[in-house]
Amino acid sequence: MDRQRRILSATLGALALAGMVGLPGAAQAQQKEVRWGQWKGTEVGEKFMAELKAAFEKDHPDIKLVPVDSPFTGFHDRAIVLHQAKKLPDVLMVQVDWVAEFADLGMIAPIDDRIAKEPKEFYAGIPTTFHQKWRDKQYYLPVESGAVALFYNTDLFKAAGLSGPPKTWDEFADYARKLTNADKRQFAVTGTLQGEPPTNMTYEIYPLLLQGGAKLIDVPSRKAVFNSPEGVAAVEWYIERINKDKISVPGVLSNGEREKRANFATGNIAMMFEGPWGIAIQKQLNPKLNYDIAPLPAGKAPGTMVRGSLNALTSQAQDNDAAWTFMRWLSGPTGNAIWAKGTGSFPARTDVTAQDWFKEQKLFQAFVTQMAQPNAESPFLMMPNAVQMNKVMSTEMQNAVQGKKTAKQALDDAAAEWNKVLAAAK
Amino acid sequence: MLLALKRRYREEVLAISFLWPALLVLCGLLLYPLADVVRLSFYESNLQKEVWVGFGNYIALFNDPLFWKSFWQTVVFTAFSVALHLVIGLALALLLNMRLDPVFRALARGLLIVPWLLAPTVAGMIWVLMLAPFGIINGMLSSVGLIDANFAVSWLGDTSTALGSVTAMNVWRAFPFFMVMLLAGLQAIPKQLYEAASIDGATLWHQFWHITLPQLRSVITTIVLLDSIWTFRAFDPVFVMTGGGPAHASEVLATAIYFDGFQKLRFGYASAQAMVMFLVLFIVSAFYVRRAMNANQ
Repeated sequence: MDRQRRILSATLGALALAGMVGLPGAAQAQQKEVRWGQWKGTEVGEKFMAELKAAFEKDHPDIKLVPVDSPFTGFHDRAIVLHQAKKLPDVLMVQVDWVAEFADLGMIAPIDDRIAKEPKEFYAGIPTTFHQKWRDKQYYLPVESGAVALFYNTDLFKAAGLSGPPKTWDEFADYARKLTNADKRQFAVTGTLQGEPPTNMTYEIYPLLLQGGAKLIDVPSRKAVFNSPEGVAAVEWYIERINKDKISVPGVLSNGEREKRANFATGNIAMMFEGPWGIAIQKQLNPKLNYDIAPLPAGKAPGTMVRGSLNALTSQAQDNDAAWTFMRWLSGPTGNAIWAKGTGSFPARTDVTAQDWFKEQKLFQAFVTQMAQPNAESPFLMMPNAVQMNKVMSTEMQNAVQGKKTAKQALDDAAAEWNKVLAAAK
Repeated sequence: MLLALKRRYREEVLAISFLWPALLVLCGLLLYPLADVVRLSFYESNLQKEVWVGFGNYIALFNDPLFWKSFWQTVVFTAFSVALHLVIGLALALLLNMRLDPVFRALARGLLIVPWLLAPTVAGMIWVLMLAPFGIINGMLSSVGLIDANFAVSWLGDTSTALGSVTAMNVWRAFPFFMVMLLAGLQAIPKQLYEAASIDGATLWHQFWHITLPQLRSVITTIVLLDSIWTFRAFDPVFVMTGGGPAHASEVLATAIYFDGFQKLRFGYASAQAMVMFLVLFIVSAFYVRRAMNANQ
């Protein structure tokens, strides 16, 4: 009996030892791993992330996808800290504002060679805005995109006797005055000039500058040019709407994206400048709200900002080929359609927006129109430190709205600061 | 004699052998980052490359109006916060020390300590909602006719009120610490002192001035020094409520250091600011340590 027990113990011990020594090696040989650092997990839910992982691993059984989720707030700073600690994941989700900065910090690697090896249709399906390079190199592939457009409350428009959204600045100013009734705490918009996060500039000031006929940066000379007479006129027009017509919810300098979205969801704010990501947010905040979406009103020209969530290959990736396989899949027609359907986001590919299921998404169609119009730009991809530059612009716009500086002074001062950043990055 | 020395030596060796792991961790966690910040302050660093600039960051700092603005705003924020913590904390401690119904006293003490239990970010968010243009503060002010109902004050969106609003939140959040400490101090004052003073005909004011305050001096000095250190380096209330804005109107040193480091990627410059902050706090801490050592002696 004792002998039998000893033999059994020895057999089990040998099996355990074999398992410890042999199995991980065998598993490693079978499956590669891609760690994907992103902030979407908490937004889209674990269920969808598990479905996405399963879909990718079904197409690529030799690669295991490990989504590493952390909240959007502080994501930029955490990525820098991870880079310093040499703990960056293989693929990192980034915002358009971070590409140049992270590239200059050596956090992300160029992918031009890999794109060149793909079939032509792969890159042709990505909107040209996202073909912008930093220092002549491509560092990212888009996962989702979207331009800023005009959300408008159809009930408030009907009540004010307005049949449709404003198409020009003059119409916007006229409609905004009609839609504002401070006694009822009803306002045309929520002016958002809060300095932190400085992405607020995306929604009002930058599109206005383009619509007024100004440009943000002159690419050949790499200088800020928004302080042109057209830019000054655009900012003056904005200040007049805020300070004279008082079309905004009070507290313009402390209102941010959170306040803007919450206010619109209450049904008392008639319009909101927002990207396609706002559709899911409004559905969550107030699913019964009656609203529609239209392209932004044009000044001398149409104009909007294009933003997006992008994937970049990090310089600390363990397996570049496996990481690229995942990036290519998620930004390719199959993965991108799964992502857009599952998250309710605007696809990063024109061949996905052309699919029938997407055309049935009525609210999204204004963004398709807006992105096809002239001046649908993403200048952030050309900014060496977009976070800092946006902050500079926020501060100067706050000075202008408070009357501490004229529109010209504020734009001149902002341009001088931008030029310092641009010159330092040459 | 030799035996005693040998025993003492053995005890010291034993004590050091117990202490060194903790000392090593302390050095690793405190001294290394501090030394690295001192080193970085002499470099222009964006994490990608470091260039030696000597005192360049310090010279740039002292010529930077934004640094001086945030420095003075930090001083104002700290001075008003600490002074109001002391005044409100002392007033409430005196009230709770009076002959009150024990149940009421326990209830009041429990309720008044609630703000201290909240994390600074939670307290900040509560105040952001209260101070919103159509929030409860403006509602109350308009209901008593102090402001026009249609003229909503933007407390956090106006350069003239932003810092004051953040200070008000900070006062509200931390006064219970003063109240509790001072109440403990009050309860330790011998009753006979007041009895003797009242027999001698001292008024309540005289009793407060000549007995209460001198007896509380030690507690007051300690908590004022500690609070000055905590408030001077406060980051969360400002970051959560205003992000240092609008137009830097509520920028304090802690937020300026953060923005210079993580937004502008000027880690050398941010380190120089951090060193100035450290120097100020070191001086205040030196007073505190000296006071603690005197008390021990």
